[in-house]
Amino acid sequence: MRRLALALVALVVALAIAPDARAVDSLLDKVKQKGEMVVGVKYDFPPMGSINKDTGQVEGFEVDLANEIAKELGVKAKFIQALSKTRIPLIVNGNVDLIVATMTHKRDREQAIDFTMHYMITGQRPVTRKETGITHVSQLAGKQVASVQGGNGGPNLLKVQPKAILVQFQEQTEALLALKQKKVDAVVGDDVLNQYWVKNNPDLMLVGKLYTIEPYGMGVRQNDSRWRNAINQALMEIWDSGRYHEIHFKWFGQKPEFEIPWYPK
Amino acid sequence: MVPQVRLFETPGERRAFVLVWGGLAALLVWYFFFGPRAHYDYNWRWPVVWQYRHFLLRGIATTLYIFAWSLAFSLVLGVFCGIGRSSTVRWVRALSTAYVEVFRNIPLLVQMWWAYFGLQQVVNSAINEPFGVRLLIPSTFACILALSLYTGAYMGEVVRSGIRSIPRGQWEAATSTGLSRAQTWRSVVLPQALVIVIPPLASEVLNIVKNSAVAMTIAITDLMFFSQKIEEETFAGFEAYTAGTLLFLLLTLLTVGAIYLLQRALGLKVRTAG
Amino acid sequence: MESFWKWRVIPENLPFFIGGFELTLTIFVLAWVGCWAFALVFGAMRHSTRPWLRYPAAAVVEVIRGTPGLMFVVWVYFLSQPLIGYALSPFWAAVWALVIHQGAYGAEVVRAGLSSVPPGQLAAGYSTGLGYVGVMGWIVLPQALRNMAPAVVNRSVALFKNTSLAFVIGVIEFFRAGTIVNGRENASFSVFTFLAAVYFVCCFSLSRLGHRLGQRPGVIEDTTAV
Repeated sequence: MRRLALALVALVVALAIAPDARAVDSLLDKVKQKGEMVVGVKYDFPPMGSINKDTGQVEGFEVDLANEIAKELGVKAKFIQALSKTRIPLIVNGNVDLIVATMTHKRDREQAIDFTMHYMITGQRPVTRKETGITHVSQLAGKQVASVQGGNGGPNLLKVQPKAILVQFQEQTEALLALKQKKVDAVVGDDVLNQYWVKNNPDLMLVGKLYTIEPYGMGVRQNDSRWRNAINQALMEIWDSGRYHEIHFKWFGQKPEFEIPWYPK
Repeated sequence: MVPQVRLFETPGERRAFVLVWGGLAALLVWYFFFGPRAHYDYNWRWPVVWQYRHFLLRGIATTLYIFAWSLAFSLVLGVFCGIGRSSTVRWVRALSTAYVEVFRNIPLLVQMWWAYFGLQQVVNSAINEPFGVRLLIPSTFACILALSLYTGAYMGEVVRSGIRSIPRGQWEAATSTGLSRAQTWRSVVLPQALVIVIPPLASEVLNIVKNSAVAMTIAITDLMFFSQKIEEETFAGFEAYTAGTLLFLLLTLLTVGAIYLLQRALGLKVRTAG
Repeated sequence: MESFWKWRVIPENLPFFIGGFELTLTIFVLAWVGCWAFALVFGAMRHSTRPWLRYPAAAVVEVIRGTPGLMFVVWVYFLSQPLIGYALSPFWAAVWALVIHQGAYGAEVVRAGLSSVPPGQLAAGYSTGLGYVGVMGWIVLPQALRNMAPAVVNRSVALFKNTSLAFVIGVIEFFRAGTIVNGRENASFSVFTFLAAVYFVCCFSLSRLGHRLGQRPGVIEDTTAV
């Protein structure tokens, strides 16, 4: 018994003098010190982030963008997978330093994390098989529509078509699979992915016009202005030097049709 | 008179109890309120759970629906499988053994996804395209199919051990009184075996409730899914998942209570399993 | 007609599958060690004659056993930061969740194993002058472990199957590797049959081992699922 009491006392003393793990000022210092930045990207979302079949490595527009930002900061980028439903916890928990995972900058998400300036603007609309003949969102009443858990494709669709039946999967690829297997009649998602799918699958087609505006922002930890400013400024450098346009051309075959919210020095 | 439960046999034990658990509790209190975790300003939002109670109720309804259907199918499968494994006919025994081994050694997750995506592909190629029909496998069907097959395998093992525990003397006595094999099964062996295996069967039934959480991954809106949905909408993760966990525990307790009532109704002595 | 065979998908993506399988094995080994450490501690506490050890341990074990494994994995991952102030990566969250969840089931196995040793042995051990550690180490544990062995193997098989639950939080283990390939190639039948076959081979060999170990008298039977 005495030994047990002594062990408990020792534990308490050890915890009391243990350094506080949260006493880091800014992620910028920590990243520069380690020489490495942990970035969460999508693994299931071509052309933004997907796994190359031959190399087994992740590649995409966002991956290249993150690599450029890392170069601006003078560090290396390490990638881990971010699902739609884990991307916010990854930042909140501190597992990653930056999230570049097709995350729309939404006001209610600002409760949990902070956003950098947006680096891309897209929208949402459904994708369907050609044979269903659906050409407008109103025709989706009572039909099964697939989306991803944690993303806002589902909730946005319900705003324009409350009578649609949502079927929510873990990843985009499963939603596409369900569409191809005819289990669902449409998939809602961001247009960057939709365009990619329609290009590579001749039996799919887009439905109607975009009904939301989705500005993609990168997610960073809350109340860390120095880190956020560093990322913003790196983004502006990449835009000014034209590297952004090169990367965009490489993955989308055209120049960007929007401007990032740039501001002078 | 009910004998008084003596909590501590010696004063030394009482001291030890206070020291160990009191010390642990004090440690936790200190850690959360004064130590390294103190200045983590997490604002607890328990009312969120009450606000979103309709989500949780819908989740419970779906979970109960899956549970009821899987229970029915897996019980039937389990009993037949248990009888099959104890059969004297070799191919029946081999088939049942194969069924049990295959479905016990593959994770439920793989089975469910196979039933939902893989089977759909088979159906598409073999039935839909040649005949132009549209036979879809809904997610609840795939979930119940996988869950029934999976639990049925475990129940088959339990039933088999129950049948095995019936002494051989009973078989011989039954034959000597002129009962046929089928009659022996129906009137002598099965009633006793099924009553014996109620406790381990009960734990398998509880497992159905717990395993049904996996259904969330194939887009079934069960309790697990709605806990997650509340977390997505309010970012009150701790509260949402704690509510989900407590509700699962509640379902487990209700099932245990139902089985207890069943045992009482059958006039049996209530026994608990491990 | 789209063929549903597409078996060539498997060899084409084999390195990716192997990477996932390595991660599954890593999770399994780490969780196995932690799970049985947890199980030994809590099983011994549950077996203890002292009520102030028995009841709290029983409460903890029963509560953990009453929750689904998937819920536990998600709980530990999303809530490690508010709860313990330290953020776990998806990999470690999965490992710890499996340790605690399967450890609770293992505690039952350990308890049954300890109970299977006749109490006369303990008394005899004490009467020869051995202390608690001696009695435990030389007399009780060897017998208990021999009796527990098939149940331990059964639990380990269940642990191996439950590593697939880690995919929900983004760990790219074997099952997630399968779903990624499946998403890319749309070959559900072949991919999932392949996954099922590999899991079956691994678990079946493990359970054969358990069956071999269970052919001795005095062994406790553990047919519980999950």
